Amino acid sequence: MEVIARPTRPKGSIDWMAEKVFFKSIELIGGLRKLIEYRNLTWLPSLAEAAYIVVLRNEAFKTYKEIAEELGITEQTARNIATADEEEVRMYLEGRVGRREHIAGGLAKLAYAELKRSGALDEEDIVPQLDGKNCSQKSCRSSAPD
Amino acid sequence: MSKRYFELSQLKDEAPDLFGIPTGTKLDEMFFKIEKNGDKYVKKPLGGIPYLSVMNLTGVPDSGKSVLAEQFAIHQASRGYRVLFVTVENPASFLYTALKQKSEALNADFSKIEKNTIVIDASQDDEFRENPRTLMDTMAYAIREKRTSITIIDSITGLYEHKEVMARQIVRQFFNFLKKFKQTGLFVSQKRSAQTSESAEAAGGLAVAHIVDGTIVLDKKLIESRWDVSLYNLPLGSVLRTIRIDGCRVTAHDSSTWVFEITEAGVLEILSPLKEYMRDHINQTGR
Repeated sequence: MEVIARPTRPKGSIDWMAEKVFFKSIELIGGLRKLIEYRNLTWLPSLAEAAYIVVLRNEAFKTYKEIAEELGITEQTARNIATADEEEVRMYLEGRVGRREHIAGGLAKLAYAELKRSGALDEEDIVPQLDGKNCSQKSCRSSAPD
Repeated sequence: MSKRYFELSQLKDEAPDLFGIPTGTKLDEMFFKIEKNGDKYVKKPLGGIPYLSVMNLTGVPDSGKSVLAEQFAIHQASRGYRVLFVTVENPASFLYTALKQKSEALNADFSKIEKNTIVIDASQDDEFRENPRTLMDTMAYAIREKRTSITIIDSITGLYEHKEVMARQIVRQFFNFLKKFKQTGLFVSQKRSAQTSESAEAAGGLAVAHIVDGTIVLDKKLIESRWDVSLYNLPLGSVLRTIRIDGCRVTAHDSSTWVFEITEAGVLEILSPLKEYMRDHINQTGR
């Protein structure tokens, strides 16, 4: 009987996903160079924090209190970032409205939603096995228990 | 991006066939499908819990949830199928002893059980219990690398013990995960003291029951008063154990309450429907 007592590998871990969200967020605002051009590099720490909050909330199902403890921030900050209106942030980035929402929070949420839609945060699909080896569902049917 | 809508006919090849994955108990006869035989429709036992379904086992403490889950694992592993057992409450070493003892009682070849059972020990590592994503990632590794087709989580409640408000999201994630990885699954879920013992309700409210494909409720009645003695015709201090399928969206099922016992060897044995058991018992004792 094989026992797996420790998590297997970093893919799917919080750090791995937060990094994906972070880089996707930068991509959404036009890339790192764009940040330098607009002298907006100060956004990066907030963006890193927001990436973690969005992932901890949506993937690890942490409460705001748990997120606040883990990241060393206040519960209210965690809540503000996690509930930022991403559509309003999208409009702000497109220059259609003035700044009202938490930019990093909305941006991280937009990035997270896009990564989820594309399946970039998910595991690959696998076909079932019923006879000791991987098989397609059709062939599994023929080897199914009586 | 995965497709978001389908014409019904496009789903034909993806739709799973309806057949049972045996548990080795009478539960296998309690799921059935209706087939046409000539002019008549007949009930045909499925022979197990529906293939690719995710069923919920719930009940009060010591009602036999883990016994049934372990017995299912042993039965499937002894038939050569790979089983992934995620133990959240019981440390893996204790699970090993339980499976070994039950295998002997069931006359199963334990070397096969050892070979075909993969255990994730979430009881000892907080990261597994606190971070569903980490657990799912490790389960994905086990399913892919070890080629399991059956997954048991004992218990799913242990993954949201101190935050039942998140129960729905967490159960949904694991349910979707098992569907995606094409596993036939069992979730064991605990009841809270305020919940009625015979209902499908469990910790997290009805979240688990609403999300999964079906619920099996195990219950026990302690014969503790003169009224109980008179009603059940059992001696004071004895225990009457019952099992009932409380809904299954995948296939038809027997909805009556059955009586079962847990033998001295720790094996669950389903006896007969409660009404038949009561009738036979009263006939035998002449009361």
